[in-house]
Amino acid sequence: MPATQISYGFIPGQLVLLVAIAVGAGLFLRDALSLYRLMRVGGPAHRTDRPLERTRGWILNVLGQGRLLTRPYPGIMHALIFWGFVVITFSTVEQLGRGLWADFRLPVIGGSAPFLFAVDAFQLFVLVGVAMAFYRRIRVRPWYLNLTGDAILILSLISTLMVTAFLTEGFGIAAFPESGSQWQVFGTALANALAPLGFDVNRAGHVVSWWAHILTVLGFLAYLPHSKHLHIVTAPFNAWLRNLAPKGQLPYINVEEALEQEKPVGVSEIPHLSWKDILDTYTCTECGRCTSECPASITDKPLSPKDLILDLRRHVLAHGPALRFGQANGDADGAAGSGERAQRMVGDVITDDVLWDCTTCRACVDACPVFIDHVSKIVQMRRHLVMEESRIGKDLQTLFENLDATGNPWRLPRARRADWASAVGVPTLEEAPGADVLYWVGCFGAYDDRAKKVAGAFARLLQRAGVRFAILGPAETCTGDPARRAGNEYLYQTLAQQNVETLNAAKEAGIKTIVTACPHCFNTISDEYPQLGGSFRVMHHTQLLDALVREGRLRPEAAREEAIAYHDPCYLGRYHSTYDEPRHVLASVPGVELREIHPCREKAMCCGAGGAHAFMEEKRGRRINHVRLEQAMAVGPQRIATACPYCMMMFEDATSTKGVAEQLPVQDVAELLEASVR
Amino acid sequence: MHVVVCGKVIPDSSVTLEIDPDAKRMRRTDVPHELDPAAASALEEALRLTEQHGGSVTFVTMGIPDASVGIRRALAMGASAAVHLLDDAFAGSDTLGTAKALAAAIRQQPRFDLVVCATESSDSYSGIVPVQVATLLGVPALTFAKQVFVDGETVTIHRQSEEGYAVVTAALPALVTTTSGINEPRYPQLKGIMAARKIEIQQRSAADLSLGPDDVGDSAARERVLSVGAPPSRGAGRLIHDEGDGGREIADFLAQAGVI
Repeated sequence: MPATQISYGFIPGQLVLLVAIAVGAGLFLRDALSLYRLMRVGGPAHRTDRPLERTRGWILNVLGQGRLLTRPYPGIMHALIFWGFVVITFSTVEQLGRGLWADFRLPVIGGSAPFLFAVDAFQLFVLVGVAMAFYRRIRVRPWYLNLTGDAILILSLISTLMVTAFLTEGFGIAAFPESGSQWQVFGTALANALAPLGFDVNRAGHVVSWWAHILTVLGFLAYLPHSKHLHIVTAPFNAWLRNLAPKGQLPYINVEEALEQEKPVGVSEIPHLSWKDILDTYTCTECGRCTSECPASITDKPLSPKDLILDLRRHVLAHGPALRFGQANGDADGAAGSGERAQRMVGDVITDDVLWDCTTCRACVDACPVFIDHVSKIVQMRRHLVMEESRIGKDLQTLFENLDATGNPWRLPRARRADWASAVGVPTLEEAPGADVLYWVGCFGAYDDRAKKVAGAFARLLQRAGVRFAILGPAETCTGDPARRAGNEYLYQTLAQQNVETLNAAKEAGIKTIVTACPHCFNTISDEYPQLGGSFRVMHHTQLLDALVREGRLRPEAAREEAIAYHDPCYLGRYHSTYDEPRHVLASVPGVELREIHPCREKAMCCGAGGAHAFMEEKRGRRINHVRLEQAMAVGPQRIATACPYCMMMFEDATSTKGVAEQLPVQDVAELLEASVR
Repeated sequence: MHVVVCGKVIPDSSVTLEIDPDAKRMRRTDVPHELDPAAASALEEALRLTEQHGGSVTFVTMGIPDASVGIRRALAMGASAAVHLLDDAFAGSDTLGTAKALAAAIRQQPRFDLVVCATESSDSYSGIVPVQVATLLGVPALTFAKQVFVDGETVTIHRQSEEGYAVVTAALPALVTTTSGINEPRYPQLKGIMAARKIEIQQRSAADLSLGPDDVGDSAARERVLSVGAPPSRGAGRLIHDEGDGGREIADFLAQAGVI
């Protein structure tokens, strides 16, 4: 007999329950609605295309807990609680229903043996998960997790829910044995233990537990919008509405048009964020996985991707409502008065240092179990700093001016871009009109002394394999990657448009494939140029070399009895899921023993050069490249291999600073292959 | 306060300079150009002064058509107007001819309170033109400024010298030359770049300035370039490999040179 079937004086229990539901659900709906309206302050984002793909990923990562389970302990912990709640929610609905109609049963499953058994089992699983969570928060205390009152309250509420559910069941079955089922294994066991207390006590226990359970449910509901636990509502949406654009593609903005219409070209205020950016901030669970993998956070820099999202959330919640009010009154500047006294979103809430610390390595984005996109927010705030405020360091200013003047980061003469190639006998497209492969050399390969050796090795391998290829020579210019990632969208588009024209002409002249030894050029041409009308078939040199070795067109023969550690470049690995090809090429060299650096592949740590950091001084915290080198040295290799000129530069800088340059040479995959091919 | 900045647009520092032996000058065709970094510093100083005290900045340059790249840059940084002295009649001008043209252009301005120039340009380093301009305009020249202050009727500079600096004050209007380290020139805001495109560059010929062949151009030049050549290359340095006695070898070398 449910507690609401009892009258409290002259008040019927059902009436009390109805009032409780109205208050709990009413508070939840009021606050959820206000959050939803606040979200609408954000600008547009189109996230309903490709519904099948969205749903597939949703099933895998929400129902399947895919991303969470990449880390066993917290993954299993969360999955127990999540799957538990999926099942128990049905039981909660039934409990509420029985409070209103004594004989209420869920259709189909209500009262069925599997359902009763599952609810009982999952209630226990949730308790196990919560115990694991308490232990992790209080005893293990990972550095990226904060012990907040919110977290403890939530875990306590969940424990209370499970305990009161068991007690409701146990007292209930003890008082009314006919209401129980043998499939309620734990409930029945509990009832047997409680039976000696007698009918009156058991009945009273049932009533008290039932009310405690129901009031906790409703209280939790009202508390949700003010807690990180809101993610149970937002995360399923956030996962389905995730960004499906190519990983290496930043949001496009027509800079000139925006300026003419006096629209912002970067993000500096809440309305410049998209509604999805705001939903991202609501969804953050404060799990800290992003921060735990961020090279800036690991090396003690101010940037913590988790704090970035939480700071944005606090700012949106504090200052968004005023904006919404202004908008509703048709007065967009309604909040300007108070906005002036308020902190600036970019500069105060999110400091310039935090924004400049990001190497755009994407470790945070890939680690986030609820599909928050940190990098695009950071770059869009950088756009504000660069294009609207000119608030940049001397090193970035020099980079931009050099790119603008000469199309390379060092202001070296355009005319000397192909100097390296004449020694190797590599023709330009003009000299070799029959070529079908275009080797995009990139600024490093063309000008940097170390990378020129890699360019030479790769070109000689192509010659040996009989590939008909050519380079652009002085017609090539920086792809614009460092400019775009540093927030200079205008400069990026200037450089990129020129390249898209050149490459489209090359395509018409018969070029079928573009190959490059630089993952940054690779990413920009393949993922970003389509936004500017250039769609090309692009390969990274390790992909082409792997194919040439497999086809037998390159035969590595000379043995190298060495342990080699391969470092995954971010823009090849995380951005383009290319992990195996470079390893295959290395493994094709007889005698090579591959050692995996921890972490590697999807979790590999950045070398520190991405996001224009190759051209910026690292002023804060420890040096990222030193930390990465230490990770590599920990597996005791005799040589480090990589497949990116940025990574090469960072590793060689680290080995020479640490005085191990001679014992631990750093080489490109192409160089190691060339040395073995006879 | 209206400030005029005179500066040059010079071959980009990425360019390997070539000398035209017949003209005895640098080759300027098919070469990318940039606003002289020294002129950018002078402009930056002028912009900071007008941002503090109000007013506007006009950029004046004499040069070939390609100079427009640098003029746009000056406008993007924040100059509100630009005058380009562009005429074949100017070709071959010596420093005095250049100064006459610049002074004439400045006099055509509705008003000016201050002229700011770099101490010297980064390509030819003559360092003469600014004082010639001041003389022609009849205003005081305050040179080698490492700091500039304006106070209503006067301008005060910290004049860099080898021992330290001297504080020099003059009444406005005046001309100031800035040292290269005086500031870090700004990176133009996008708004500035876009706005610069819409500003019309005022082109002036010799005739517009009422200057003839006796004033400007090769015919008026009293300086003659007799010959131009690359500087003699310095011999290769001596590399000492330390095999235990490296310190002694260096000490001996320094003793020989009379340094120690």
